[in-house]
Amino acid sequence: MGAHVSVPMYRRTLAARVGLEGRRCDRCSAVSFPPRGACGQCRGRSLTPVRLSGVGTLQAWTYITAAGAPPEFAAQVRRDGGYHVGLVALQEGPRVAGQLVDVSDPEIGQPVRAVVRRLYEEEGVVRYGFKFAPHMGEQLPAEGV
Amino acid sequence: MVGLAAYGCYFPAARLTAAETERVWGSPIADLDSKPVAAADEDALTLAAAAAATIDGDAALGSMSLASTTLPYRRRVQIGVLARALRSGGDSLFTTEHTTSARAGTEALAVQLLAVRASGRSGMVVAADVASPTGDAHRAAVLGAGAVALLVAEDGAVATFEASAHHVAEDPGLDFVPAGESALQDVQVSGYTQEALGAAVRGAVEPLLHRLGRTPSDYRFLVLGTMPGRLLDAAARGCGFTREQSRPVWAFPSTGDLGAAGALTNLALALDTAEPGDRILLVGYGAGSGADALSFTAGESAGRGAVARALAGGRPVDALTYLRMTGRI
Ligand SMILES: [Zn+2]
Repeated sequence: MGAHVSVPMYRRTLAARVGLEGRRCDRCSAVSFPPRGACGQCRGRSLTPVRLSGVGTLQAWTYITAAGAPPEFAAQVRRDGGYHVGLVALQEGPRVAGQLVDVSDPEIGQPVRAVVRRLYEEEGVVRYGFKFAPHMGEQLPAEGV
Repeated sequence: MVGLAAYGCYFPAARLTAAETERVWGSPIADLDSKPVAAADEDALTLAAAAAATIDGDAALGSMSLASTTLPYRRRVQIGVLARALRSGGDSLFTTEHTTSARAGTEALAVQLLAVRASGRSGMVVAADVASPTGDAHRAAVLGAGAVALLVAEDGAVATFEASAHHVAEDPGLDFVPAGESALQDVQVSGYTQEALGAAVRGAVEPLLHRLGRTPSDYRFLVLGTMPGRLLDAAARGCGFTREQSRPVWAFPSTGDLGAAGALTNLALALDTAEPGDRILLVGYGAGSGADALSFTAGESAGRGAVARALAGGRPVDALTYLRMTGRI
């Protein structure tokens, strides 16, 4: 997963990357994430920001070796080695890819939740974003708009 | 009454144990059984976000204060990413950042208690520190990583706030980092650390007890920072408290030194253990020196096991992994 993001683009997308803000279609209620200009289901263009719970289930995963990681993750793999990347079905519907943290043996179907982590640092600017950690069923922030 | 309405903690999953420390370096660290080690993609802000995320609900915050001595930047506003993660922010959020000593945690809490009283809106305190990769190995050996979040509200169901007293003095040469440098330094004069700590703690505690008309025996717990045990015992003794009041609310053996998050993590441990009506005296100390003493009474909602839950399920790492994770090799 290459992930270079310019500083202006990073700033524009912070609400999604760190606050898990998506869009709910005013016509068909489908939720899109990352947010887009039009509904992915009905192409409706009237959308309302919605906060996603970050909770979902792991649909697929792969392991990226230290040698296979994109250059922006070099500092991370130097300290922590390779990492898992997963495809997660969020409970609100959207499927998103993200790194998996604190897992050694990921299992398809396991509950996960989004956590804020450092993605990488470039030009002295740390990029933060969500990754997915095992969801143990502990208390979670309430869902809401 | 203004007080604490909720609290939660976060610790990174990786743990360096005393057994592994002893195996590799030949001797264990005094009092330390195990300490959390941050992953390469964690920093004080991600730890802070994780602790804040344990607090239920969508309380419309009026204010937020962040305490950390290991923020990723030395200059810039950094609490914004935390506000984003909590989906809070914009024009109406009053924020402060406290960064220069281990006292930062109680500074942040004192500010939020004032802010909530003034505004009537809820406030959040988040304190987090990670072990810095610089500085001498002996000092780094006791540094842990973790974060704690407290929700301050007009109705303190977890604990109500009674009063505070504060102390400041000039004690040069203790636990400092000069501008432009990154390694912790200390003049290492025998007895001086303990003497300065004791004087600052007494300087805050004694006026507070006097004002409230209380004695140390009126308190179930004296909450200090995540300092080594001999310093903890000396500081408690110096203001008339016992080991029985301070050791049970001392996370250090399982967390190491949490810096700015130390005193508030210990407070969380006290809230986990307290019965309704128990009195808790919280003291934050920063070398240099300053101390804040804050008196609380535990409420009906205390006793939630937040610290034990956050510490559960750690994953042991070997010494080489630890050195790599902390950027030391
Ligand atoms: Zn639609």
